Amino acid sequence: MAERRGSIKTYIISRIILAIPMLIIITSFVFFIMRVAPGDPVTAMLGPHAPLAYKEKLREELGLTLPLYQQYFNYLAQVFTLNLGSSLTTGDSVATDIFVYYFPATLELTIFSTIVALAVGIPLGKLAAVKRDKKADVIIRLFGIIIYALPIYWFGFMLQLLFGYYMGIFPTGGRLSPGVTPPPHITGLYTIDSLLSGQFSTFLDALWHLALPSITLGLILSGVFIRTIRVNMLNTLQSDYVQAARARGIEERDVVNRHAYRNALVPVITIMGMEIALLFAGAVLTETTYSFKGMGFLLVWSIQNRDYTMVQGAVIIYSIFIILFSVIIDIINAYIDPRIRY
Amino acid sequence: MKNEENENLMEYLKRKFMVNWLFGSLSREGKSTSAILVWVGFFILIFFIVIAVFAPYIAPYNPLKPAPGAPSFSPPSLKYPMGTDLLGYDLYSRVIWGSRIPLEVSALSIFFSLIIGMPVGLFSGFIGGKIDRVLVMIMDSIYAFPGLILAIVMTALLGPGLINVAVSIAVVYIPLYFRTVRNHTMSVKQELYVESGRAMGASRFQLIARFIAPNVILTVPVLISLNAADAILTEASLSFLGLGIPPLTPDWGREISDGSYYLQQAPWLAFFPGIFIVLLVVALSLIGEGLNDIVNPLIKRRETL
Amino acid sequence: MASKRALWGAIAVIIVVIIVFASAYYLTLPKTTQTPTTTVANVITIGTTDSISSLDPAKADDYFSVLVIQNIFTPLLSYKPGTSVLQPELATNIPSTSDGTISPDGLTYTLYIRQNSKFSDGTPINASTVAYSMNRVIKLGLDPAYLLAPVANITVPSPYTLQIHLKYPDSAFLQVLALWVTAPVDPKYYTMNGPYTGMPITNGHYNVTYWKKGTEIILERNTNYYGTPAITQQINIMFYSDATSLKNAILTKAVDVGYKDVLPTDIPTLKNQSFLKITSSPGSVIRYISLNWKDPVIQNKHVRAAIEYALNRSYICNNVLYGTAIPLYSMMPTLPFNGYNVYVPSYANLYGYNQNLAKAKQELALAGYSSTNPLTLTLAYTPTHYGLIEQYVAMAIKNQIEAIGNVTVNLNPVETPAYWDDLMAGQFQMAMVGWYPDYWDPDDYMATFYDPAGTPTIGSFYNNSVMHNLTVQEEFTINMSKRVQIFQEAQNISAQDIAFIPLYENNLMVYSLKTVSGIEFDPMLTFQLWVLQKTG
Repeated sequence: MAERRGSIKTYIISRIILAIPMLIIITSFVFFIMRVAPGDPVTAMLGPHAPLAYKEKLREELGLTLPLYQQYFNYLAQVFTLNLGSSLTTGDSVATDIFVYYFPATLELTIFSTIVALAVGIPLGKLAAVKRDKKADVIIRLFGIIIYALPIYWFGFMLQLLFGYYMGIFPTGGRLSPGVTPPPHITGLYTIDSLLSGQFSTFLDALWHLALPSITLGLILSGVFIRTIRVNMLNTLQSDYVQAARARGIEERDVVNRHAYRNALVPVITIMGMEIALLFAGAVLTETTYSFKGMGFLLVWSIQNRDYTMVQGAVIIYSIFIILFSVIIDIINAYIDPRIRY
Repeated sequence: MKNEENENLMEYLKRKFMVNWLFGSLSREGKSTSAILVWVGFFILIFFIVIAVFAPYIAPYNPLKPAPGAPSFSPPSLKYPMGTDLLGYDLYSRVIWGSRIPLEVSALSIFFSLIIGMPVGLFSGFIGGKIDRVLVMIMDSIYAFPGLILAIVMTALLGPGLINVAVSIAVVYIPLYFRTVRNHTMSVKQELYVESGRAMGASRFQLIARFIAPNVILTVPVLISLNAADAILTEASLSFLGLGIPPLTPDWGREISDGSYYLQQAPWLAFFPGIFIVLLVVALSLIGEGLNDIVNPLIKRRETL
Repeated sequence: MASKRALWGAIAVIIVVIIVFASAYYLTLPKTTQTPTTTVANVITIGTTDSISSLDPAKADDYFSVLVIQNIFTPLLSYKPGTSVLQPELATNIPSTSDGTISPDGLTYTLYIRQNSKFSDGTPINASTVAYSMNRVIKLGLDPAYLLAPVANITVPSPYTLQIHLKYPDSAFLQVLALWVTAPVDPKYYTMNGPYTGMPITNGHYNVTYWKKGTEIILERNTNYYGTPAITQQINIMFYSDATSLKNAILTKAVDVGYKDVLPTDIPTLKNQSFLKITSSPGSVIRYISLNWKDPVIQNKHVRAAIEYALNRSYICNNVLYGTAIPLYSMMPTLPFNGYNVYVPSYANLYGYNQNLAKAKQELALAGYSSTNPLTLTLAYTPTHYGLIEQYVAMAIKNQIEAIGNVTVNLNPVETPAYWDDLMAGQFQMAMVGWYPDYWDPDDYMATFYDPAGTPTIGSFYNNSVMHNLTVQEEFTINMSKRVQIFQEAQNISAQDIAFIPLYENNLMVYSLKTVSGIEFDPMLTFQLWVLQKTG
């Protein structure tokens, strides 16, 4: 036992150390591609009327006249001190804007979407595994395939039409109704902040605005979860552990619910780790569809406005969080899953 | 069960794909449903390819011009089966023509991913050591990053154009092929080291390639179909966001984006292109899933040989 | 296990209950904040998709920032609401040559600053304050500094007398005095070191009491304002991220006034609502096609004529823009300048008001193009900067030109800022561009279009020495009637040359509750909020 503890420490450390080069690779990739792009950020900021001398001055200030390698090293230094510069269009600090406003919004959306995805995916995946190859299994698998094939924005628009315009039950966009002030900033997630501040009506309003986007993204992702849960359940159901339980005469129902189910859920954490990338990608489209001001919305908006620093900042933060999540999940797995060797 | 040990590959595949038993065996062998899935998906795919190729003959109007005399924002009717937009363009013609870009772009991007991912994977697995570790790290970084976001950033920066979009999408999926081929290469390499004493004449590389090939032939088609399904969704998302495709080019993602501003007045504009995307992606997913079910036991069997 | 199932069931029930609660809550939400009275409402809410970048007069140059600044600060002069007529504001006189407040050589402007204006922190304002503020604009050299480019120096002969000395006579400078760059700022906060980003210290019709960037700004009536107090006590401006959200806000009465921008195609929906009204007034934004005079195809007058004859401006204005614009037949806006009408429909006078395909075909043939030698043109446009409908306008233009026959028009969308870069580098054969007034003088619609130094900035490269001379002439002429003659001659020559292709003039569209009145704009399209009111 003592041996295992020692090596888990080294595992954690080595995992974290491994994460750093990954971060550098992704961010460098973006940096170099951005320098290739047509369109000059200075013209974006000043518009076409500005005098040439003034543009040159600004270009110098932004460090765009330095040689490329120098810009690159400054950039790397910025990444690691999280000094992400100022937005080229609003002039506000990129890091502040993202961490305080946009990232929590995306976090909120992804959390609720994951809840929906799991709430739909787990029971259906389990059912499909248990009723393997019967009608239920085929139907559920088909459902999973079809729903994952839906373009997120299209599904979102159809839901907007049905529930927003025709039935008028849910709002079609935004995080809060106009006129409702956001709760005082604690985490940036409106639902949590409003609960913590006792603003119950704001909480309801935020939840109400989260309904359609979470359902859109969550349902579509449930397609993936159905498949993964089903496969895991199938593997577990055929595993030695479960065969042993059956051999001991335990009722099938208990075999499924107590033994197989719990073990099959262990990989759920791994699954969620793998799906982080999917969640973030899906969030971009969902946020654009619902004008939900999160990181995805920011990314698209910044690209359209050639706000270099914003785009860079967004990509860096995406990378950091994805790597962070995958490290955490690997570590959790190392603790939980006895099968993992390190 | 027949005597599977003696069945060779061709016979196995033939058995899987026979369509004689359609509905009767739905509840029996699970494997026959996989075959059905593949066939259904395959026929839908053929349907789309036919539409794309014969678009000039199927589409009643020129998609690049308003249908002559067409009213603005008219709902689906006999004359304009999917309705018209603000300037009187016929949506049906544009949707038919719109099948070309997704198919072209995904085919192109799969091609790029394959010709880069597979050789690099083979090389990396074969050569091992530090170079392999570096390559794996690079590929894993790209793989871990949300593909759509990477594609968005790349397309936005490379600019519009069919090839640029294909390249951006290809970059996202290269790690997929890399991984598979590299892993197979590595495991085969382990086995071969044990056998290396007995290998005579043939170089290690040739042996590895010979053993990799059958596994690759089995797994890659699955990857390709699932890759294609994803690539089509990605391409549609890119053009939905306004990246990559020039204006007026009929493209389903673009149609949805344009139509979204008129959701209340003209919901058909956003509705129909989406249905087509769903159909095509489902078809490719069915092929992929079905192939996966059929091929998996085969691989398992081979790996225990 | 039974207990596990019960747990899941309980959670599901709780979620359903929350959703039901939320829906019920929504359905009981009061739709408006109006209380039914016949008095003037205290609060008006305005919704827009535009945004504020800065409220520092020395930094801001974009439309909405300027709009708010002109409501919370006072320039030296201002416009009578809804007109282009100047009136005294912070200054008590309008400089003119008749009383010497404009020196005979046109180089010195004398203004008498009123003595009863104060900042919101109580600091009194005098001529030195104004001099400081204007010098600050020049020194900081930010976006709006070019407006004060003619200024050589500013002197303060006595505490409430301001003298502005110009480097050269500039007949348009009078109009600059009505712009925000002449507004006073409090030296304690607005330093010479850089822009000020805190809550504005103001002296105008309104004060800012709350400002959340990108979301909302609240203006309260300034009781210390020296003139007639603003009618409505509080104005909330809400910023929406897109036209559809704004439209929904208007439809659900979440805002009293919706403005800039609503998609033209949403107008029919809005028109159908009995509680809404649409106020449409001529604007000063002109849209046109910039023709690249470096391109040999464009240099052929018959090609330009063919394009002009093929255009169907009414179709664009009515069918694509849903009446939010009017056809324009000259490179001048139709609005009067300080009471003078300058606009002449010169293009219509020569080529007619409507599409004339027969003539267009003739011109194309004269240009040497036929079925064996077809013409290919490229039209560039930018997909979002001028509104999402731009793509459809470009498509309509393409279809109209192609209707001539033997012509193909390729569309080339380029996003800003690359669009401006390419435009100025002369990469576009034809490009759709717009012009917003920097100051309200016809000169603003001359220099860039007809001066060889200006035409490259809009991708035109038009070079006609006669036009250039006219531009110089009008700048140095002080007498407005004489200037009007020059402007009209310029418009006629422009039409003869087909230097550009004017397309349309955007109307100002304001969507509001029927109970809102006092919707007035100055010629710079600043919403004059102090006369806005809502009754009943």
